[in-house]
Amino acid sequence: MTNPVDVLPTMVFALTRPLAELPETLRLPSLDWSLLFAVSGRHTVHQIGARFGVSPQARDAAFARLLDAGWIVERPLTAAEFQAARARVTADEPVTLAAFLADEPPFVPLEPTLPEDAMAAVIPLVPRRRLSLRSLMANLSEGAATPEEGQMNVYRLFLRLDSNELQRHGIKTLRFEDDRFVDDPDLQEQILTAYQATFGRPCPASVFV
Amino acid sequence: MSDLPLGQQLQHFKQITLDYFAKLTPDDGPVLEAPYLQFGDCALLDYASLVRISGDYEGVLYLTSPVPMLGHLLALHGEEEVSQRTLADMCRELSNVLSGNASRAFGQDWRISVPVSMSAAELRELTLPPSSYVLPIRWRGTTAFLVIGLVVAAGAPS
Repeated sequence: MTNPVDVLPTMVFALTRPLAELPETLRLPSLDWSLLFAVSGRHTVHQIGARFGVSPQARDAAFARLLDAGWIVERPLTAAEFQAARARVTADEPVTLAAFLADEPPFVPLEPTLPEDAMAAVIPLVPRRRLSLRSLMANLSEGAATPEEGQMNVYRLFLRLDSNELQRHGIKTLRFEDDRFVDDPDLQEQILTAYQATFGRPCPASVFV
Repeated sequence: MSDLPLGQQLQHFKQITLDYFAKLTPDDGPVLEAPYLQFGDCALLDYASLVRISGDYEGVLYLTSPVPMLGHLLALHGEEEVSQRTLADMCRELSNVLSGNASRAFGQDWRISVPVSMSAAELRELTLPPSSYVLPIRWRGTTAFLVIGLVVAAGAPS
């Protein structure tokens, strides 16, 4: 579990997948749904929390749950974006006495950290996927007449990949029964490209978990 | 394009290489360990017997062996002296075997170079493919590696 203190008011989160692609069976607390629907990739934790009038503790705990579950991911900020975000966070996020007594949150306009055209690229709304090398190797061995043929299919794909890049991701050797995952989107893309180039067909989505 | 899938050629090559050891010691044949892919540094032991191959892919086939394994082979050939000279001789013998095996397994579709034998230090001087298929062969308590290192040939169909 992510510790709630890991969530800072200046953080900006983005969705890891479009809302329409969330599992139909997903069940979340009401607050988590509220925050999830407000995550834009442009607004800070502080801004979103203030909009819903939720305490920083409850807000951070909810964001931590969403982060842990993989529904959101932190979007790295440029220095200018961070400064803009920080400027919008009041010290210790105090609540006025009037607001406290009235049980109303302080008014915080939900303006984005920076105008869209001045922002660094936002994390694309794609699912956070893991590529299973075991599934990939199993796919390449399907229909092979012998184990060696399946192994050579795997080798033919991997010899198209940059060995330095593989090593950078901790893949120095690969046994054909290894159960390993590739999380890096760039390396995933290289594997998909190599698959297409080697076998003349797209890599099946079943290699992703 | 090759008539035979690369996997079948590999299987043939592997089998006739194993047969070489099995014929030397029918009661104590070699044991294959699980193969794996290696990226970056190549698998290298004390000596290596190598041929270059080219076809749809280009690269090398080599058998790299530790001194104790070559010593066992020398003894089986009636040579009691284990020295740099006799080890190099044994390595050359293995190179010829490897070349013959490669020609039988891949020769129809691939060009096979003249075999060479070299020390690991000499092999390190060569530019070898950065990704290789390594097949460990355990025999008489020692392990050799049969290695295939390939790159996609320039102009080969993708």
